[in-house]
Amino acid sequence: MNVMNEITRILNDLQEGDLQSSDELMPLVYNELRQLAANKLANEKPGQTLQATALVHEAFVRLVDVDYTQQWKNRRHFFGAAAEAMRRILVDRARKRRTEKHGGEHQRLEIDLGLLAMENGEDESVERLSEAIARFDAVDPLACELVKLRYFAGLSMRECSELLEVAPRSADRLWAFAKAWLLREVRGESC
Amino acid sequence: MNERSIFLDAIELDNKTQRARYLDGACGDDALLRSRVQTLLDAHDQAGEFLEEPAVSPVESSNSSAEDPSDTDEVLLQSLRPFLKEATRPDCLASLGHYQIEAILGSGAFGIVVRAFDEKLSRIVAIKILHPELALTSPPRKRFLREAKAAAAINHDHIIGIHAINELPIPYIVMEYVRGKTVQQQLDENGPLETEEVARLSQQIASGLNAAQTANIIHRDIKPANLLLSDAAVPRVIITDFGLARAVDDATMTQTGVIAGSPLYMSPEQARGEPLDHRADLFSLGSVMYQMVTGRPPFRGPSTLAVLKRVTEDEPRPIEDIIPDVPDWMRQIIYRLLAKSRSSRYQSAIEVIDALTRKEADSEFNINKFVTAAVLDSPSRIPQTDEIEPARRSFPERKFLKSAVVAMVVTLVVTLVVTYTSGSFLHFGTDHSGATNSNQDDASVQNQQLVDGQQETGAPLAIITHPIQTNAASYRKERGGVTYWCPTELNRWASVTFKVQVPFSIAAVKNVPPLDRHVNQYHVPFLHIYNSHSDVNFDPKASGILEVSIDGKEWIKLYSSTPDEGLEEFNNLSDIVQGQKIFYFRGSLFVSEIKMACQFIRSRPALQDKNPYLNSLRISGSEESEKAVVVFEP
Repeated sequence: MNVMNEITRILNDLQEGDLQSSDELMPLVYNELRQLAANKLANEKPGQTLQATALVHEAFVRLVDVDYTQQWKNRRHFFGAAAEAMRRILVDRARKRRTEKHGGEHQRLEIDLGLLAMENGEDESVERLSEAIARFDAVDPLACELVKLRYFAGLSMRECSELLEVAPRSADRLWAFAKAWLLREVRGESC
Repeated sequence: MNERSIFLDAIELDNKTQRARYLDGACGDDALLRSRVQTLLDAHDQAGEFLEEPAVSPVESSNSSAEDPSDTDEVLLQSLRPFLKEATRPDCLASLGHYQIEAILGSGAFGIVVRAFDEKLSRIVAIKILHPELALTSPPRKRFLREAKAAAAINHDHIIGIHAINELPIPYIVMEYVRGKTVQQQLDENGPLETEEVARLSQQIASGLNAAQTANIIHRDIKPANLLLSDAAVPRVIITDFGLARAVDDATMTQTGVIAGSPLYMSPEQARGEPLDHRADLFSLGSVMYQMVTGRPPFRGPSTLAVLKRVTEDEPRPIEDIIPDVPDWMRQIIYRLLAKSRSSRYQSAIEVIDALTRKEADSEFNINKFVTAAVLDSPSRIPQTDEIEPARRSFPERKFLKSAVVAMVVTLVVTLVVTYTSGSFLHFGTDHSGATNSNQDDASVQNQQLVDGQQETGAPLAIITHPIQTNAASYRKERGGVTYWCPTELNRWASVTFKVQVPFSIAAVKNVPPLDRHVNQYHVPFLHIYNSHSDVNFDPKASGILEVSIDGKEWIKLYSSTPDEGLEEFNNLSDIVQGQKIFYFRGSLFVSEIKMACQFIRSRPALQDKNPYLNSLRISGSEESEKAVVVFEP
């Protein structure tokens, strides 16, 4: 598969320290996730919702040459990119829904993505949260990575602590800080 | 110091006064800093479910079926509707007092448990609401409220916190909300736990039981389903459901013929309907520990009566028969907790914690009890019916110890014996430098044992009951800092104990119809190697090797992986094991990988038909060599 080779190449470049490749990785993953989401939604019962973890893992399997890139560093890059891609997808969708009028003509793909159920789903809050997360990156990049992996890629705390190579207790602390900071930010309470 | 570090230190302190004091010290004159930290702390306390559920996910986990979840929720709320008002918060189902009900967490015979938002204190809580029908009659209502009072009487990290008890419009208990699963769910999903984790969790449970003991409360229904595990990277245990709890004096007057509690974890005295004390909970703890370690309860049977009979009369199946590599000290602690006679058990939760901490089945606290005549505790904690026996223990594997007078000396002797015995286990076997010679020695030792065993198809080998590994350390820990990703279909784990006929199943896995595009990935994870380092921190120099030996013959390398070269395949497993019935793997195998492949097979009825030997799979390994030995029974 072309895309698979492409991603494999990028992951290897990243492994070798070529950080530019991150930017290339994201769009590929983004496309794949959107496609996957749309396909899943088209094939499944109406009202059924998707699971982030399932999507991301499936994308992983499809996009990454598993034999060759089993090393954890690659997985961290991949999941990071996937989480970032998910975030983009959701923010795009939120924006679209916010600006579109009801009853307009939509492209089939947009409609499908519109079915993505959100937990506590108001569109403004997705955007606000996404912006807050972007600001949080400057405050604590590791905790920010954790938030993205957990919230957008749906990984468990345990999985995250291993991917990020931090002790589980540290992961718990990072998570506590991230939640508190982001909640405060989203509420607009920081002084 | 910045707000981050102060915040992280402050959240370790549960007490608001302590926190305030800490902030005073840490922030000093800097009012801005202090207020920033304060807002962080407030957000922390109120965060509740914020960010906990991934952005794209099903509406509710735990008890929902595949059906439309909101329908089920509505059905469950049906009988309560008359008492509930409309929700005022978006996405909430209803409101009860100043609580906005967000989701149903579970339901039982007594009522339902919901997750709700407390509007007054801006926090997420769990609320247990009694069924309206039950609320009408006095006994269930009383019992429900008694539960709350029992738990409310104890303020402890490992006991569910009770925030409020209300009786109008219907009785309900407001509790702390703990996000996570029960120990039962954890065991169902992932199988037995490793010894370290069992020790850690058991200490927490015992700690909670100690608080209950101090408050003179017996829980009476300690079981895996009543133990919550918080959803953190380091889970915390919380004892819930004090529905059957009784104060000690209350418990001495039981109604005849009424046996309350789950038979599987019940103590013999409970099963017989006798007066109880806190040691009944300790027995139940032993049953829970047994299950955490082996994956199954100690006393099973086809009916409640059969189970109770076994509880009162039979010894549980030896742990080493189920999971060979549980260390001796852990087994002894469990057996002692499961002693039929309560005076043979640990006499208090503190002793259990002590034993677990020191990894010695004997508790130091025990000496005092027998050497000094003084009674340590108030009379209600010493059972009237059993006499205090001299230091005489009768666990399955222990020698007899006689006089109480020499308890002190005896304990020392026992300690030495234990050390000596484990020591001999520790040095049994070969070194693991990886040199071919030692491999051969290992193989030939095992080969010897193989030859002694039966070779009949289906008959268990004698080898299975012998420890294959070379020290007693538990292997079941997952290694290498890599969580094994799991393709979407395989998101449930079967219990560790099952058999698989490996050559066949690998072929079967490969032959799954092409519709399933993941199929080719499975055989790789099944045998994939990983970094053999046991810490979460990745060791760039570590490498993994997977080897196989057939019938105890020479080890054949299958895969190796190094950070530089990546994965290298040397031989093809299918080719090697074709037609073989008995073989060992030795290498750095994730337990999860084996589970994953087996679960895949179990999830496909067609594959299951082709694998009639899906029974027990033993996994054991050596901490020193970081190699695993996996045995497949035919």
